[in-house]
Amino acid sequence: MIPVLFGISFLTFLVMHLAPGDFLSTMALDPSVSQESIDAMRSRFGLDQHWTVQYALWLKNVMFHLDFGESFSLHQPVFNVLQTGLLNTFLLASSAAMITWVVAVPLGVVSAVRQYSWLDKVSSLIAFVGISIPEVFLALLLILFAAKTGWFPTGGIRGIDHDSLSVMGKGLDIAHHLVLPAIVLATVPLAGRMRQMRGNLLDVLRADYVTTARAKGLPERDVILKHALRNAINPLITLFGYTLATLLSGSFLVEVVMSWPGLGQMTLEALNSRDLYLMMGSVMMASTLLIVGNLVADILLALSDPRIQV
Amino acid sequence: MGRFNWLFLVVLACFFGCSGDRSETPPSPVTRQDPNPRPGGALVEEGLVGRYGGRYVSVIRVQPKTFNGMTANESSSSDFTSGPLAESLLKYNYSTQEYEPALAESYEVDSSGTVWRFHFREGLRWSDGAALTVDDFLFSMDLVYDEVLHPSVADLCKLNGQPFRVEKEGKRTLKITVPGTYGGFLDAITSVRIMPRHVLGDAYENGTFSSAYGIDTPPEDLVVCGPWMLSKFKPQERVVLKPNPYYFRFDQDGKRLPYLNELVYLVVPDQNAQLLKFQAGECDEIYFRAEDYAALKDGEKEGDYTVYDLGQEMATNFFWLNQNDRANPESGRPYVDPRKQKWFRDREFRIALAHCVDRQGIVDNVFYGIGEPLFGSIPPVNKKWHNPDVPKYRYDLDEARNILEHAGYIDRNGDGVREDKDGNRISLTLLIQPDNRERQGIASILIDDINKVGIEIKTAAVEFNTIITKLRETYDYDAILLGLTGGIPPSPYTGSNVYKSSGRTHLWNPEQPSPDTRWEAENDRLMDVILSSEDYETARKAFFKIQENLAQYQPAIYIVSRRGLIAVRNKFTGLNPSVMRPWVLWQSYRISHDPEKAAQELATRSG
Repeated sequence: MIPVLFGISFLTFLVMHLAPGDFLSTMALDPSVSQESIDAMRSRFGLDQHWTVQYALWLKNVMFHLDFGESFSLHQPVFNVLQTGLLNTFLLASSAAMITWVVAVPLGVVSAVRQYSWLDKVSSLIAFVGISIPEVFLALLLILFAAKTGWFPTGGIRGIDHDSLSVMGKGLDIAHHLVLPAIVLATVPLAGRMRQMRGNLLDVLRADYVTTARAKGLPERDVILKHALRNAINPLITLFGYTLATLLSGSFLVEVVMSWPGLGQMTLEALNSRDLYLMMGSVMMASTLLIVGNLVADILLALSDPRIQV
Repeated sequence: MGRFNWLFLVVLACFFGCSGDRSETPPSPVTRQDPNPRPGGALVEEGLVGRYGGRYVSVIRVQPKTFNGMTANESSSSDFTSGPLAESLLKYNYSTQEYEPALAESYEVDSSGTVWRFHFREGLRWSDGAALTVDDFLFSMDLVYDEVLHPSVADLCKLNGQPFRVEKEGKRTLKITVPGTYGGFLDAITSVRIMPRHVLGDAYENGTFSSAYGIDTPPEDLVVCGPWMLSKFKPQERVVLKPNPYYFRFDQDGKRLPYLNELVYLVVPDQNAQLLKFQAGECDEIYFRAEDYAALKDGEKEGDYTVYDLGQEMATNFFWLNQNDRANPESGRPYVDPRKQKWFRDREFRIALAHCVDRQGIVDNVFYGIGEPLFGSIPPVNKKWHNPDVPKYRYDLDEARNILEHAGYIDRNGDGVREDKDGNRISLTLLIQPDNRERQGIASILIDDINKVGIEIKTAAVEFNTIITKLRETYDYDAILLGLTGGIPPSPYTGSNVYKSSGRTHLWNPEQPSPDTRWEAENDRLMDVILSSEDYETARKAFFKIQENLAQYQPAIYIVSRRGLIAVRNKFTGLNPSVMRPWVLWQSYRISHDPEKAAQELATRSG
């Protein structure tokens, strides 16, 4: 895990420096700013040193002082800046993950059990559309829907009168704003998981032990939910960690289009303005979340599959 | 299963019950408690009457990075620190394009033109009630000239590298001595953000000034002197402002301004999402693109808003050829291929290109007709500085072909592409930004026409930062298509870096050790005249000549500028839309939420 983080941080730093220009490039085009001002700023931010020196300094601060540096544009410690964004992205990603699972697994099971029925055909259609539709398009489509019907807000995380609501009201307000972005984010993985669930279950249902269970006289419900499902769901649990990770990184686009104030928006801004330390902090956080997600998946797998010894 | 269905329906009902983000203004009191004393030197807005109450919601693409007016150096922050949160010695009036009294109720300059005096109003206060005095301005100038902080405004506040001398005279007079006559003095001095010494003096003493007034500052600690103060800031979500209870402007009836209860800025990064938010009624203004005009115009009645055509923008679109004929000191090789350099430096070649620009066609196709042809860096809307009598090379492909033939660029081998006198094929690459649809549209029309006259030209999309590096450091390009937004106020005083041959942003040939051409030398001289001029007439004449030279020699070929378009809800009065940012909110303190009166005004306007 630690070597992975090292590698990621090194690569990110390298790539940021390979790209031409730095935080002060845009300012250099401003005719009212003198070269001395820019040079003064450059040395203040430490951008005039060789990139390996900069990386070493950054690494030292992170490892020994847990100091991720300060954002150039915000003059704030990186961690403080990213906190709320991290929380918001995590909220969005977990809601999307929840939607994915709560919808994909039952739908997949029903599709497999009633194969080729109209329910199966409809869910297959939804799945194929879901996989093919571009996320940005879906996001804009849903915002248009919200704008025209007024049933949902067109973006953001809170309503304009959020602070005057009760605690319950505030929670519902955020949930209300969460619906559309979570749906957009969940669409692609949902489609994928549903098809996988269906496929896995169909395979499992052909296995000998299922026939045996039926022969033993177990109710169909137990056969499917207690025996077949637990085996079929194995690969999906592995994917759970991967799903969470992809949701976290895939949320960037949705966040920008639907004005969800998460890590994605901040990272994009940091990238556009070449805010080095903010960028590094953001990438590090996303990578850590990804690794944690995978760890969770491993643990879940160990729990659900008795063959795996921890 | 039945239970779950029921619960689900209940939760769903709660969702639809939440009204969400509609900008329905809650019923607000028409009177407002104003316990604070009216300053003796209060500024009365003549003829202005209005009602208290209401909220105005705007949208921004990017959140502010800091609320520190001295260290803010990009527009997302300075839109606030130099906008609703600020007042200066003088205020630039967008309609008249002149300076008006603000914190200073009057000012004068002596006969030598070097000593300026500003008389502060009596009774000025900061948003926390503390007195606002000349001492605060002296403190601000200390910050400006501080070598460590080195804010960008410092460069404007120096003449030939020498700072101004600022002193306090009597109780309320600020005396500034400039080392020579300086045409850009008013522009410079009104760019200085006045900082409260009683709040930030300590931070300056112990070196923490640059992180003071950051975005994590509690709103009550953010002491300002503008019409608004910070009420709430939710990072990445919104900025909420409330009236400054000690503001010095009053209306005709003695009501302290601003009228509105709240000014809200929602952070919406995506342009399309902004448009949909406006159409959903969740914000009250939107500055939009030409392509959205038809949709917004149709919805005027239903959405109860008005679309304003603001006129030609100051932002320009243009392209230029690389005229840097120097050599890279490290490799010894010239930056630009000498064969190409011969064409780029040939005035006839550039004039021919200028004739290939189908400005009206570009306006019609890329900007849906909502734009104007542009022939120089100063558009006609800039009444004070635009020179209308400069040579203009209109769209004429035959004329372009003629000029090229006469200049020796002839297609000798019949392959459709001209060669120069030495037999080299005329072929070049135009760099454009990949993420700007309008500029891509301009480029495709442009190169189509240029190819028609026998010059082979292609485009290459290059990221913006790379373009900047190329034009400032590596100089390895043929031609670049770019655009620049104008500064506010749109005067030439801040343009040394562009107009002077030694300038950093003298785009086609920056940082020349000595002027390359006779006309560039002349422009350098004229720029010095402008900076040291005592009066506007002298500066204007000099700037007119600069524009004439630039038009004559076409180092940069100007294309079009779009017309500004904004849609604003009808329930507000006191609007004075201008083509310069922030279009409507530049006089936010005059806006009043008054649907009946607004409807009357609308009826008389359209009736």
